[in-house]
Amino acid sequence: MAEAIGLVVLFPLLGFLLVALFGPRLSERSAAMVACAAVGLAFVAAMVATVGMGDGKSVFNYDWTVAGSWRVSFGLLADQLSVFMALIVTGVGFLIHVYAVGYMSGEENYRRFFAYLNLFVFAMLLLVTADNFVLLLVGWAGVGLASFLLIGFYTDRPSAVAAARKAFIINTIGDVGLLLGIFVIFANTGAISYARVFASPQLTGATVDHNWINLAAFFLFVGCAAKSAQLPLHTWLPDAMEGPTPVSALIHAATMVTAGVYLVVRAGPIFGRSDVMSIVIPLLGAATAIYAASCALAQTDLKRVLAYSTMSQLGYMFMAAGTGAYQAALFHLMTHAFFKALLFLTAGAVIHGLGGEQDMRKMGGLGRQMPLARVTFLIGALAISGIPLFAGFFSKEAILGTFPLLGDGNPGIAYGLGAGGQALVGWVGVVTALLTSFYMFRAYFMVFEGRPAEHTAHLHPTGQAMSIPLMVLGLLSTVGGLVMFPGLWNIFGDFFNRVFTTPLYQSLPNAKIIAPPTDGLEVTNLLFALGAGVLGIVFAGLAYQRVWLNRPTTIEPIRGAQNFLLNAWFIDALYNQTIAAGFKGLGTLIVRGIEPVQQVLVDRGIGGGIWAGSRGVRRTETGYVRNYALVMMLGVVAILIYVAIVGLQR
Amino acid sequence: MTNISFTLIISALVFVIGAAGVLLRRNPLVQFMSIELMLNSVNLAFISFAGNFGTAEGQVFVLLVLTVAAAEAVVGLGIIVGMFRRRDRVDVDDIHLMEG
Repeated sequence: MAEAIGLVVLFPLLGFLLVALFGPRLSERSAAMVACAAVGLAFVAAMVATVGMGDGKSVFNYDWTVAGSWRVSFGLLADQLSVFMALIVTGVGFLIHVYAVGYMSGEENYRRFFAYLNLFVFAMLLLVTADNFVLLLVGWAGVGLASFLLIGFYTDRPSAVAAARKAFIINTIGDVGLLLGIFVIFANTGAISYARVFASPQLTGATVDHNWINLAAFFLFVGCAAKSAQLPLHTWLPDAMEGPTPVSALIHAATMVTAGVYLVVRAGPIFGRSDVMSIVIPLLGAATAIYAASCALAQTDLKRVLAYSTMSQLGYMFMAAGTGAYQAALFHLMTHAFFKALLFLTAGAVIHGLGGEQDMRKMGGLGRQMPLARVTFLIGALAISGIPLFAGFFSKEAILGTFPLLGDGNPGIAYGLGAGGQALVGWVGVVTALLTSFYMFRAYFMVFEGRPAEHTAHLHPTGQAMSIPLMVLGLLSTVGGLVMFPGLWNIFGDFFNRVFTTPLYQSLPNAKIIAPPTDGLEVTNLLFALGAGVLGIVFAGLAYQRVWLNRPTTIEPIRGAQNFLLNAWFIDALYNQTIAAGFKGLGTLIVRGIEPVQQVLVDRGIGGGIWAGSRGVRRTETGYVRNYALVMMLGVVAILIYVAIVGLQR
Repeated sequence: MTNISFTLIISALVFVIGAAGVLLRRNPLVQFMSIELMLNSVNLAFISFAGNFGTAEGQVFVLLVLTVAAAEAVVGLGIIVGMFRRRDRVDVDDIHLMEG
């Protein structure tokens, strides 16, 4: 029943069309029901596909465009990797749709919101189930569009519109990168479907040209970095929090931003053979992880804390995926989808309760009034901090376990980072873990503990539609990590075996680390990471103990540092000062300098010339029939004379 | 001077008369008659050549030309009647809307 993968993509598309085309005729309630049902049915279809797909195959291989060796099909790929992503997208997506029914109630454009949300789910599913690079690009651009529409959902808010535009521009840079990557791949392998590209002798042969592989991997990674908000294309993600909170949870935490990780794993046969990108991606991931975590330390907006946290966790995933530890990356992708969606939805419940307030400094003491939100936030914070038995613990250990801290090098990593580089990445991961638990518990203390802020007296209640998804995600964030218990079992890995034990992946230089070791633990890493997580919580507790103990806050942070972190190392400002200002300068130059000259040249030169010429030609058009007849006559005579002369000369 | 030269000279004369009529007269009815003259001069030439060479193509062409001339006369007269209904006199120089 691998064909069920078609239904997975089809249901959200139908839902989108139904709500978008017939929205005004549907009641708000039924529009929301249609949208939820579409995603729910897609989830069921994804489960059917999971059960029935066997070894994974590509279905619906109808031709789309054919020109010479260029052959693109509409094919969908039903293999473990695709259905895994489809299950996350539809499963978490369904919970967030249900949550949005409650969260968005009373908003204007309620139906439009659900139409966009379904459009996003459709595009995302197309992205993860495509069996060739071109269809992937369609989904890739589609999620960018849906993200743009949803970030700018509050069209009357200038900051939301600006944020939407920013996200779209940066994502377009990524799309162009991906497109160039596809060109490079096609030019060198002559194929476009995954199966044929990855099996092509130009890629797998004994003597391959590393230049084109590096180039292809680089361009593909530009796409991944833009989509997944990695340095240096990350600036859009914090601003994307202007969108409604369910959007932040679904698109900017659980699913769309993980598309980059998915592509690195999916195109593993290319990335894994690129000697340059095998070094660059883990290092950039590590840099993003620690950079974003440091920015999250000083944020005052609850959603921006979570946004930087998302970037930071994506950095972890890229560390693992870039090195070749694909299972660890996917595992963290899954648990992160659970606990980050949970955190965002909890934040949404708080923001909803406070009537739109997002500033943590104006919150406080909400724990007693919102017991459910407190518990779910705590679960999410413990999970992301890597506290044992919560989901994040196992996945973070799986990633950090790949990078030995003591400099002895992972014997499985034969390619890319050396022993020193691995230790560096590992230590960055550990420090990031410390920062992570610190900023999460800082947020927890500021929001839920301490003395209640003044306007927390009358809270909007968290409705049932909102609390049930919170509970389900809370449960998943608690036990979701148990699918891979180090040293004991690895259900997760068994599921992926069929993909990762194929020659496609086994022929990679770093094939040994695709699956985390099952026979033992990286004890050193475990201790350090766990210690870092606990230490972060302790530090947060100490720093905010006055909040904790209900005393008035007197924390005086170092102003300069706080400002530096709050503004995300001024990278935004840097981009504005250099790139944006450069383009603005160019625009001014064109308007002031080139435009007037061009106006004279075009108006007086081309326009005037044509005007003068046409005045001459216009004279000949008298409108009198006899003139035309005379010209015709003369023409005929001229032709006759010509024919006569030619005839005489012969 | 053979028989055919005679008819061809007649044909050429009639053609020039017709052409002059089309170019010089301003009454569309007369212009039409002149066009018919030109067509028939050509017919005459066709017939003469066909007779001279003893082939049928020329005669067939004459029939085709006659048919086209009849159709053209219908359209042309229709236009002239339309012109006359709009303004009381018919003069081709009144119709110069195509002027540039």
